[in-house]
Amino acid sequence: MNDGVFDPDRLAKRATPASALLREDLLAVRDLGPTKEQLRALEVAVGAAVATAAVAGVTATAAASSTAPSVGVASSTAAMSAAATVAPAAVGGSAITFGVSAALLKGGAAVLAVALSVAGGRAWIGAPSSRTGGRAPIPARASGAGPLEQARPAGPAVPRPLEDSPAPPRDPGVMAAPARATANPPAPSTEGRSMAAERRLLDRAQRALDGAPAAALAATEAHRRRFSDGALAEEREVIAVGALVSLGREDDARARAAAFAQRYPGSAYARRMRALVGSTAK
Amino acid sequence: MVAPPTSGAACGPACAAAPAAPGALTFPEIFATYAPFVWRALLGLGVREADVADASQQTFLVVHGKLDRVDPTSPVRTFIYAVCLRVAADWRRRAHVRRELLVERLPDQRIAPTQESHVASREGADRLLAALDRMDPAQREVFVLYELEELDMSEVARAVSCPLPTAYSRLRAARRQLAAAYGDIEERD
Repeated sequence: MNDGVFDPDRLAKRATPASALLREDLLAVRDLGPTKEQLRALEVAVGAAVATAAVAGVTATAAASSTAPSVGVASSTAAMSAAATVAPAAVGGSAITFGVSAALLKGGAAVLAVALSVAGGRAWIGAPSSRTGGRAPIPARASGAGPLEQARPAGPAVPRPLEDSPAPPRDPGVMAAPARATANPPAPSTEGRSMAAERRLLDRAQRALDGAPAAALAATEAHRRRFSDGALAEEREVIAVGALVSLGREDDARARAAAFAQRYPGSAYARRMRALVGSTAK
Repeated sequence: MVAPPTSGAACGPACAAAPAAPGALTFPEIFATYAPFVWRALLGLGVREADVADASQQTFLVVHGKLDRVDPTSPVRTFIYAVCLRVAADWRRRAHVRRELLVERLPDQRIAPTQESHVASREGADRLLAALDRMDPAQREVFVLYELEELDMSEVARAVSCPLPTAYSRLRAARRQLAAAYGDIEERD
């Protein structure tokens, strides 16, 4: 590439007539970039998506969803056995890593994996944990799954909590976003994409929870901004409260758990939420 | 050229990376090299911070999908930035649709202590990004690739697929607009 001999000087250079403030701001934007945690999470997400895409390319959809989890099993078995102590950092490495989400989901914290086996679509990855982590309650929310429900793989049978009432009633404010989605129907693929995006964000949050709670909280915040009342909003709150507890922000955790209880009174996660903040009760 | 997908599933990460050309970077290498630039470019191109991780992922999935079809005579960097442009345009449209759904930040969002020293430059970055938001997207693309990502203008023209003179004129227009915007800011101060 000839080094643009006719190219003008870049504004960030001192000699240009650009305003000093503009120059500073240009340098500030040049400094933007992912944090190490964000980069690692991205690497994991890209690796998992690439692996899923590769598998989906040669198998039928239904088969793909049962095959995808196996991609990571071999590499993650060791991590799985040490899942209680392993931090996401130990898994990333410099190469794209596949299937680690399964390894990083602790048995007791398999909220997301289980939720996704209910609500998730084709690119669903976390089956092993959802089987072994049977303690996690399932949100009974067939409506939340929407059209994706049809694409739902013949996944593991999911235990339903009997003590919590299914389909938690939502207040009108909570209903607003889903109602809009139906009233103003986007192409199903759009909805599929947004579900996939929701899942990705929370998958990332869930992974970060063990070792990088601040990153987990940031990811839940990203989810909250994009999908305030998304199909996985309850899962997000559970992860966020867990992150706050890990960060030692008990007061914030309790406040958020209280808001959750008020907003989703019949939530299948109610008990889990109480347990999370109960452990910090004075 | 393309590794059979089955082998990708059977033998792990390296197999999934189909080399674009002999001697070319493998996909994991491309990721390691370009991920921070992709992230920054997407921000510069108007992807919201909350979306940039997803948009980056999308960019790399597209890159991965097209790696075996990329023109080997063209630098992979140009190709990656071209993908960034398309992905960012897509996210800008979505952000526009979604804007009304956005809610204010939770009170529990504090700035971590380690970030406090960056607050000033963060403000500066936000100021420039806001100015870019008001710019014509075609001009913005040229400006970002040239001034932030430091591509040569010929590379910029190729990435945005326009003739070189058009790229120059877009850059000039973008600079004029920013100069005016910053002139106003400084007059006010």
